Amino acid sequence: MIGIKSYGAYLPKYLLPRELIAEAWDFPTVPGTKAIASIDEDSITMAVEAGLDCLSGIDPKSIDGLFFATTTQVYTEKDSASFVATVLDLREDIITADFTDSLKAGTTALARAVDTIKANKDINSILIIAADTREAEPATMSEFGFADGATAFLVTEGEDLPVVIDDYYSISANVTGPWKRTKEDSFIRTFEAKMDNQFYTQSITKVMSEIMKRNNLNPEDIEVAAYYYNNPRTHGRIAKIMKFNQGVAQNGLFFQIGDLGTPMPFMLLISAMKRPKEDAKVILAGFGDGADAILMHFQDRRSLRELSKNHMGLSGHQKTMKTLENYAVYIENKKLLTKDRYVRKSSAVTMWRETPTVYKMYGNKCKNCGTVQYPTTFRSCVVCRADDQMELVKLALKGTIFTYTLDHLVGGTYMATPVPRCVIDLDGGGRILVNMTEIENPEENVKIGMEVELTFRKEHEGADFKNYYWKCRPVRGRF
Amino acid sequence: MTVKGIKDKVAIIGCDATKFGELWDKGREDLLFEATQGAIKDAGIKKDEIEAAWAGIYYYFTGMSGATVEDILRLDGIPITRTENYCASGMDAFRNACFGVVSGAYDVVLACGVDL
Repeated sequence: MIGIKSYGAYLPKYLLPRELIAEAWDFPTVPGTKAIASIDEDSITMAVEAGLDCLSGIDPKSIDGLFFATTTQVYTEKDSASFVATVLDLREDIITADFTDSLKAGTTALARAVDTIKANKDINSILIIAADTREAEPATMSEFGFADGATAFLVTEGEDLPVVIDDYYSISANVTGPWKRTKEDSFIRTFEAKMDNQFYTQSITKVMSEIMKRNNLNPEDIEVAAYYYNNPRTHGRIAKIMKFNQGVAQNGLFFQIGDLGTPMPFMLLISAMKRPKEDAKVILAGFGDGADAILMHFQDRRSLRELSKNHMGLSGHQKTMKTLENYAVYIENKKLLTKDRYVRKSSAVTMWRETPTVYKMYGNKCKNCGTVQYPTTFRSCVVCRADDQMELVKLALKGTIFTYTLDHLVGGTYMATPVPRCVIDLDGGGRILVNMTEIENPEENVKIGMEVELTFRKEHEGADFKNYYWKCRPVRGRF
Repeated sequence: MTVKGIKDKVAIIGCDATKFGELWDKGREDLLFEATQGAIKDAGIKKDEIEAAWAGIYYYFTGMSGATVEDILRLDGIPITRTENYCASGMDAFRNACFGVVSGAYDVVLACGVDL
């Protein structure tokens, strides 16, 4: 059997109330809030977060592949999946691929992962990560909707899986809307929203009806339907067309979090996994130039509950989200203002050479005195001075602040100064210097002895490529 | 004015150099470590006998200090000076290291340099 062994999610820290958008542009408001990524986040950093959540308690070296799905690629030539796999410390002999350009990229990646596992004896587990940071044009309706987030699902072959994948079915269709031209457009465009909506309704109902038909299922047999949507009213209409029972169609996300794009159906599925019914039939459906439907059932309620205890998932992130009070912070976060930004020096060679230190967060352990130290570049021990006695060790992604300073003159793209520059004693050893992100009133809130988590973030664009590194953040509860 | 010079007042007791070339897999930490370890071995001394050090580093970027060498060799607690003098940066590190010995302040010092 092939199914889902583990899942993870990521939601950025900040929620923007829609009334702030309405106030800014003198629009009638839409209720609720939406999740927005910080200035140092993109689809790659959010994918890393979701991946870390999914792999909590799982050896990253046991994974045979990573498929990454997004419509907001960081590069148009350069694979993101292999980058995310590197940071997550997956093996080298794995398969990686990016699925992109359509909002159904995530469900397509999931279906192709099942195909790949079926067809290859030596590929047993594939991590599917979906992440999006779609930018809405200010003062348009999409500004009320577009939100940021990521999900990760580990698909494996085996018995006793919490969720079993039974069937999948796709349709392909072409319509111009919505679109974003590679060079000409900064924002997603649409020609006629009503036509888009009708097209979406047709595709998503067709794909779900077909997969039910070929599995001899009636509407009342389906207990969870997690399908992409970007408009709560249309969502309800689809539930009616499908004749789903009350509460089957998962609709809890748009008002609180917004339209996540590619990860949307997955996040809806995660919200349904919180209170699973034994043997419940589940439909997951993605939409975009056609549609995918994936039919599954919850096999083991107990192991699903276990998963929700050991992963942050949706609710673990929601608990630590903070509501913004100012629309300008959103504009700054999304870099919608043109500003001269400080650029540092960088080198693609150095970044490649220092991959274990910079991306994978490995340190050295001295075989002579046992001290764990960072970075790995130094070959003499910081404590006992022994030469060439180092062995690579993986460092914990959490620790406590040993000391810090508040930097008012820091260069780079920071939402607010001062930026806390913190020396962290990592759990299990290793002392590192990193900046802190997502902290309000650092003068009051940063303290020696404070517990922090490391989070993978965008630092700068020196040498005209994206430079990433770890920062620390106040604890959000990652396992 | 006659320049007296330091002829016959100081000696090189060990030296080494890394391979030169396009060494993509090595950083300045690796190169400086290799060269200085080689020189220490050649001299037949221990790292801890070094009393002071000079390092010539020109490229990479300015604003670096002797701490670069300290980090790499963990030679903490001794004075380390970084010299920058265009393409004579390494020679100046060596010359000043010699002065350190000739002056009588130190018996064993390290002169090194790295660029990439």
